[in-house]
Amino acid sequence: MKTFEEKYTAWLDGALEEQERVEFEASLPDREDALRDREDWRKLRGLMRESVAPEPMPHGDFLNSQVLAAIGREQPASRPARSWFPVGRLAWSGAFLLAVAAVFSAVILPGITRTPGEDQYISKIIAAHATDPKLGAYAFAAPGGKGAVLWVQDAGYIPANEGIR
Amino acid sequence: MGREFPRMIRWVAAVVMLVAASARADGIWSALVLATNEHPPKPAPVELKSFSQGLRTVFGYNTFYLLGAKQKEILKGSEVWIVPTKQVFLKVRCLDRTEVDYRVQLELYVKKKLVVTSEARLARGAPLYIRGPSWGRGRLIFILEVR
Repeated sequence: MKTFEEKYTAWLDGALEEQERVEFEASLPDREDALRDREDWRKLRGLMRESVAPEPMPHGDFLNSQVLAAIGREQPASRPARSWFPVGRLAWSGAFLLAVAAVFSAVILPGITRTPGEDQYISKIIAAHATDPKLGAYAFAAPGGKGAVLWVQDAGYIPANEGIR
Repeated sequence: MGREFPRMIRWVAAVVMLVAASARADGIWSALVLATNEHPPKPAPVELKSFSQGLRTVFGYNTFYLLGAKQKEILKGSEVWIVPTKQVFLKVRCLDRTEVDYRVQLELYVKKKLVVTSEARLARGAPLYIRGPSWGRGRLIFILEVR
Protein backbone atom coordinates (compact mmCIF):
# COMPACT_ATOMS: atom_id res chain seq x y z
CA MET A 1 0.00 0.00 0.00
CA LYS A 2 1.66 3.16 -1.23
CA THR A 3 1.49 6.29 0.88
CA PHE A 4 0.35 9.58 -0.51
CA GLU A 5 3.90 10.89 -0.70
CA GLU A 6 5.02 7.89 -2.73
CA LYS A 7 2.11 8.21 -5.11
CA TYR A 8 2.70 11.94 -5.41
CA THR A 9 6.37 11.52 -6.23
CA ALA A 10 5.56 8.86 -8.80
CA TRP A 11 2.86 11.09 -10.26
CA LEU A 12 5.34 13.98 -10.61
CA ASP A 13 7.71 11.65 -12.47
CA GLY A 14 4.89 10.24 -14.58
CA ALA A 15 5.53 6.77 -13.28
CA LEU A 16 1.94 5.85 -12.29
CA GLU A 17 -0.20 3.42 -14.25
CA GLU A 18 -3.05 5.01 -16.19
CA GLN A 19 -5.81 3.83 -13.89
CA GLU A 20 -3.79 4.63 -10.86
CA ARG A 21 -3.02 8.09 -12.22
CA VAL A 22 -6.74 8.79 -12.83
CA GLU A 23 -7.66 7.65 -9.34
CA PHE A 24 -4.80 9.71 -7.79
CA GLU A 25 -5.74 12.90 -9.71
CA ALA A 26 -9.36 12.41 -8.67
CA SER A 27 -8.29 12.20 -5.06
CA LEU A 28 -6.34 15.45 -5.18
CA PRO A 29 -8.05 18.28 -3.26
CA ASP A 30 -6.92 20.92 -5.79
CA ARG A 31 -6.12 19.21 -9.05
CA GLU A 32 -5.31 22.40 -11.01
CA ASP A 33 -2.84 23.55 -8.41
CA ALA A 34 -1.17 20.12 -8.41
CA LEU A 35 -0.88 20.15 -12.19
CA ARG A 36 0.89 23.53 -12.00
CA ASP A 37 3.25 22.19 -9.42
CA ARG A 38 4.08 19.23 -11.67
CA GLU A 39 4.74 21.51 -14.58
CA ASP A 40 7.04 23.69 -12.49
CA TRP A 41 8.91 20.61 -11.27
CA ARG A 42 9.47 19.33 -14.80
CA LYS A 43 10.86 22.72 -15.85
CA LEU A 44 13.10 22.86 -12.84
CA ARG A 45 14.39 19.35 -13.49
CA GLY A 46 15.19 20.25 -17.04
CA LEU A 47 17.11 23.31 -15.96
CA MET A 48 19.03 21.32 -13.38
CA ARG A 49 20.04 18.75 -15.92
CA GLU A 50 21.31 21.43 -18.22
CA SER A 51 23.28 23.35 -15.60
CA VAL A 52 24.63 20.41 -13.64
CA ALA A 53 25.99 18.65 -16.70
CA PRO A 54 29.86 18.48 -16.41
CA GLU A 55 31.74 21.04 -18.37
CA PRO A 56 34.31 19.41 -20.65
CA MET A 57 37.82 19.94 -19.25
CA PRO A 58 40.35 21.50 -21.56
CA HIS A 59 43.59 19.47 -21.97
CA GLY A 60 42.29 16.62 -19.84
CA ASP A 61 44.88 14.12 -21.03
CA PHE A 62 47.70 16.45 -20.10
CA LEU A 63 46.28 16.92 -16.61
CA ASN A 64 45.88 13.16 -16.17
CA SER A 65 49.49 12.55 -17.17
CA GLN A 66 50.66 15.24 -14.70
CA VAL A 67 48.68 13.66 -11.88
CA LEU A 68 50.06 10.20 -12.63
CA ALA A 69 53.61 11.59 -12.76
CA ALA A 70 53.12 13.26 -9.37
CA ILE A 71 51.88 9.97 -7.89
CA GLY A 72 54.89 8.22 -9.35
CA ARG A 73 57.28 10.74 -7.75
CA GLU A 74 55.67 10.28 -4.35
CA GLN A 75 56.11 6.49 -4.51
CA PRO A 76 59.41 6.00 -6.36
CA ALA A 77 60.36 2.65 -4.82
CA SER A 78 57.20 0.70 -4.90
CA ARG A 79 58.15 -2.40 -2.89
CA PRO A 80 56.66 -5.72 -3.73
CA ALA A 81 54.24 -7.14 -1.28
CA ARG A 82 56.07 -8.91 1.53
CA SER A 83 55.61 -12.59 1.74
CA TRP A 84 56.32 -14.99 4.57
CA PHE A 85 58.47 -17.17 2.29
CA PRO A 86 60.33 -15.03 -0.27
CA VAL A 87 63.16 -16.79 -2.07
CA GLY A 88 65.83 -14.51 -0.63
CA ARG A 89 64.77 -15.12 2.93
CA LEU A 90 64.63 -18.87 2.38
CA ALA A 91 68.12 -18.84 0.88
CA TRP A 92 69.52 -16.86 3.80
CA SER A 93 67.83 -19.24 6.21
CA GLY A 94 69.45 -22.17 4.42
CA ALA A 95 72.88 -20.53 4.57
CA PHE A 96 72.46 -19.79 8.26
CA LEU A 97 71.43 -23.38 9.01
CA LEU A 98 74.41 -24.65 6.99
CA ALA A 99 76.75 -22.53 9.10
CA VAL A 100 75.11 -23.71 12.30
CA ALA A 101 75.48 -27.32 11.17
CA ALA A 102 79.18 -26.77 10.43
CA VAL A 103 79.79 -25.26 13.85
CA PHE A 104 77.79 -28.02 15.52
CA SER A 105 79.56 -30.87 13.74
CA ALA A 106 83.05 -29.40 14.15
CA VAL A 107 82.92 -28.05 17.67
CA ILE A 108 80.01 -29.32 19.68
CA LEU A 109 79.44 -32.83 18.34
CA PRO A 110 82.99 -34.12 18.98
CA GLY A 111 82.70 -32.92 22.57
CA ILE A 112 79.44 -34.78 23.03
CA THR A 113 80.44 -38.02 21.37
CA ARG A 114 83.89 -38.25 22.91
CA THR A 115 84.03 -40.28 26.05
CA PRO A 116 84.50 -37.78 28.84
CA GLY A 117 87.23 -38.22 31.36
CA GLU A 118 90.35 -36.66 32.73
CA ASP A 119 92.41 -39.34 31.02
CA GLN A 120 92.27 -37.52 27.69
CA TYR A 121 94.30 -34.67 29.17
CA ILE A 122 97.13 -36.88 30.47
CA SER A 123 100.23 -37.95 28.60
CA LYS A 124 101.56 -41.37 29.42
CA ILE A 125 104.08 -43.95 28.35
CA ILE A 126 102.25 -47.01 27.03
CA ALA A 127 105.36 -49.13 26.52
CA ALA A 128 109.12 -48.69 26.71
CA HIS A 129 111.87 -51.05 25.73
CA ALA A 130 115.64 -50.64 25.99
CA THR A 131 117.52 -52.34 23.19
CA ASP A 132 120.48 -53.18 25.38
CA PRO A 133 119.80 -55.28 28.49
CA LYS A 134 122.38 -53.22 30.36
CA LEU A 135 120.24 -50.10 29.83
CA GLY A 136 116.98 -49.37 31.58
CA ALA A 137 113.83 -47.62 30.42
CA TYR A 138 111.33 -46.52 33.05
CA ALA A 139 108.12 -44.55 32.81
CA PHE A 140 106.37 -42.50 35.47
CA ALA A 141 104.15 -39.47 35.80
CA ALA A 142 105.64 -36.02 35.91
CA PRO A 143 104.94 -33.69 38.83
CA GLY A 144 101.43 -32.35 38.50
CA GLY A 145 100.13 -35.66 37.20
CA LYS A 146 99.49 -34.58 33.59
CA GLY A 147 102.90 -35.03 32.04
CA ALA A 148 105.00 -38.17 31.74
CA VAL A 149 108.67 -39.06 32.00
CA LEU A 150 110.59 -41.63 30.03
CA TRP A 151 113.69 -42.24 32.10
CA VAL A 152 116.46 -43.89 30.12
CA GLN A 153 119.09 -45.17 32.47
CA ASP A 154 122.66 -45.10 31.19
CA ALA A 155 121.68 -43.77 27.79
CA GLY A 156 125.30 -42.98 27.08
CA TYR A 157 127.87 -40.26 27.50
CA ILE A 158 128.96 -37.67 25.01
CA PRO A 159 132.19 -35.84 25.89
CA ALA A 160 131.90 -32.09 26.09
CA ASN A 161 134.44 -31.61 23.35
CA GLU A 162 132.13 -33.44 20.93
CA GLY A 163 129.66 -30.93 19.75
CA ILE A 164 126.08 -32.05 19.64
CA ARG A 165 124.93 -29.47 17.15
CA MET B 1 68.53 -12.08 -5.18
CA GLY B 2 71.07 -11.79 -8.00
CA ARG B 3 73.37 -9.65 -5.87
CA GLU B 4 72.55 -11.50 -2.67
CA PHE B 5 73.78 -14.88 -3.87
CA PRO B 6 77.53 -14.10 -4.17
CA ARG B 7 77.44 -12.33 -0.83
CA MET B 8 75.77 -15.40 0.70
CA ILE B 9 78.42 -17.70 -0.77
CA ARG B 10 81.19 -15.53 0.70
CA TRP B 11 79.45 -15.49 4.06
CA VAL B 12 79.07 -19.28 4.22
CA ALA B 13 82.65 -19.79 3.04
CA ALA B 14 83.94 -17.46 5.75
CA VAL B 15 82.04 -19.35 8.44
CA VAL B 16 83.24 -22.73 7.18
CA MET B 17 86.87 -21.52 7.02
CA LEU B 18 86.59 -20.12 10.52
CA VAL B 19 85.24 -23.40 11.84
CA ALA B 20 87.86 -25.40 9.98
CA ALA B 21 90.62 -23.22 11.40
CA SER B 22 89.30 -23.56 14.93
CA ALA B 23 88.89 -27.33 14.58
CA ARG B 24 92.38 -27.85 13.16
CA ALA B 25 94.38 -30.37 15.13
CA ASP B 26 97.38 -29.14 17.10
CA GLY B 27 100.96 -29.98 16.34
CA ILE B 28 103.76 -31.31 18.47
CA TRP B 29 106.17 -28.85 19.99
CA SER B 30 109.55 -30.43 20.70
CA ALA B 31 112.68 -29.16 22.34
CA LEU B 32 116.16 -30.42 23.13
CA VAL B 33 117.39 -29.12 26.46
CA LEU B 34 120.77 -29.25 28.15
CA ALA B 35 120.36 -29.47 31.91
CA THR B 36 123.25 -28.60 34.22
CA ASN B 37 123.92 -27.65 37.79
CA GLU B 38 125.50 -24.25 38.14
CA HIS B 39 126.22 -21.95 41.03
CA PRO B 40 124.47 -19.64 40.99
CA PRO B 41 121.77 -21.14 38.76
CA LYS B 42 120.87 -19.26 35.62
CA PRO B 43 117.28 -18.38 34.75
CA ALA B 44 115.56 -20.61 32.26
CA PRO B 45 114.87 -19.20 28.78
CA VAL B 46 111.40 -17.94 28.07
CA GLU B 47 110.43 -21.05 26.12
CA LEU B 48 111.24 -23.25 29.12
CA LYS B 49 109.71 -21.13 31.87
CA SER B 50 106.66 -23.33 32.17
CA PHE B 51 108.78 -26.50 32.31
CA SER B 52 111.64 -25.39 34.56
CA GLN B 53 110.00 -26.38 37.84
CA GLY B 54 109.07 -29.83 36.53
CA LEU B 55 112.53 -30.34 35.04
CA ARG B 56 114.17 -29.29 38.30
CA THR B 57 112.01 -31.65 40.32
CA VAL B 58 112.31 -34.67 38.04
CA PHE B 59 115.92 -34.46 36.94
CA GLY B 60 117.57 -32.54 39.77
CA TYR B 61 119.26 -29.83 37.71
CA ASN B 62 118.97 -26.11 38.30
CA THR B 63 119.96 -24.59 34.98
CA PHE B 64 118.50 -25.31 31.57
CA TYR B 65 119.63 -24.29 28.10
CA LEU B 66 117.43 -24.58 25.06
CA LEU B 67 119.50 -26.18 22.29
CA GLY B 68 116.70 -26.28 19.76
CA ALA B 69 112.91 -26.29 19.43
CA LYS B 70 110.33 -26.62 16.72
CA GLN B 71 106.61 -27.01 16.20
CA LYS B 72 105.48 -29.67 13.73
CA GLU B 73 102.15 -31.06 12.73
CA ILE B 74 102.64 -34.78 12.22
CA LEU B 75 100.14 -36.64 10.11
CA LYS B 76 98.98 -40.13 10.97
CA GLY B 77 101.47 -42.66 9.63
CA SER B 78 104.24 -40.14 9.04
CA GLU B 79 107.45 -39.76 11.02
CA VAL B 80 109.79 -36.90 11.79
CA TRP B 81 113.17 -36.41 13.40
CA ILE B 82 112.85 -34.19 16.41
CA VAL B 83 115.64 -31.62 16.72
CA PRO B 84 118.28 -33.84 15.10
CA THR B 85 121.87 -33.35 16.26
CA LYS B 86 125.21 -34.90 15.42
CA GLN B 87 125.06 -37.32 18.31
CA VAL B 88 121.44 -37.68 19.41
CA PHE B 89 118.35 -38.36 17.35
CA LEU B 90 114.75 -38.81 18.37
CA LYS B 91 112.39 -40.22 15.78
CA VAL B 92 108.67 -39.77 16.27
CA ARG B 93 106.20 -41.78 14.27
CA CYS B 94 102.51 -40.87 14.51
CA LEU B 95 100.43 -44.02 15.03
CA ASP B 96 97.14 -42.22 15.55
CA ARG B 97 95.82 -38.82 16.37
CA THR B 98 92.64 -37.20 17.54
CA GLU B 99 91.76 -33.61 18.23
CA VAL B 100 93.15 -33.84 21.75
CA ASP B 101 96.06 -36.25 21.60
CA TYR B 102 98.64 -38.14 19.58
CA ARG B 103 99.67 -41.77 19.93
CA VAL B 104 103.29 -41.97 18.86
CA GLN B 105 106.15 -44.41 18.60
CA LEU B 106 109.48 -43.04 19.79
CA GLU B 107 112.98 -44.16 18.94
CA LEU B 108 115.98 -42.63 20.68
CA TYR B 109 119.33 -42.95 18.94
CA VAL B 110 122.62 -42.06 20.59
CA LYS B 111 125.67 -42.01 18.34
CA LYS B 112 123.58 -43.61 15.60
CA LYS B 113 122.70 -46.52 17.84
CA LEU B 114 119.11 -47.27 18.78
CA VAL B 115 118.87 -47.05 22.54
CA VAL B 116 115.19 -47.09 23.42
CA THR B 117 111.88 -47.66 21.68
CA SER B 118 108.68 -46.56 23.26
CA GLU B 119 105.02 -45.99 22.59
CA ALA B 120 103.40 -43.01 24.21
CA ARG B 121 100.25 -41.00 24.29
CA LEU B 122 100.70 -37.24 24.10
CA ALA B 123 97.88 -35.08 25.36
CA ARG B 124 97.45 -31.38 24.82
CA GLY B 125 99.35 -29.33 27.38
CA ALA B 126 100.79 -32.40 29.13
CA PRO B 127 104.52 -32.60 28.35
CA LEU B 128 106.54 -35.76 27.89
CA TYR B 129 110.12 -35.62 29.18
CA ILE B 130 112.73 -38.05 27.86
CA ARG B 131 115.96 -38.37 29.75
CA GLY B 132 118.73 -38.69 27.22
CA PRO B 133 122.47 -39.22 27.46
CA SER B 134 124.94 -37.18 29.48
CA TRP B 135 126.84 -34.47 27.68
CA GLY B 136 129.82 -32.99 29.42
CA ARG B 137 128.75 -32.08 32.90
CA GLY B 138 125.08 -31.93 31.95
CA ARG B 139 122.23 -34.05 30.68
CA LEU B 140 120.30 -33.91 27.42
CA ILE B 141 116.54 -33.93 27.82
CA PHE B 142 113.84 -34.02 25.14
CA ILE B 143 110.50 -32.34 25.75
CA LEU B 144 107.46 -33.14 23.64
CA GLU B 145 104.15 -31.35 24.04
CA VAL B 146 100.96 -31.13 21.97
CA ARG B 147 100.16 -27.49 21.23
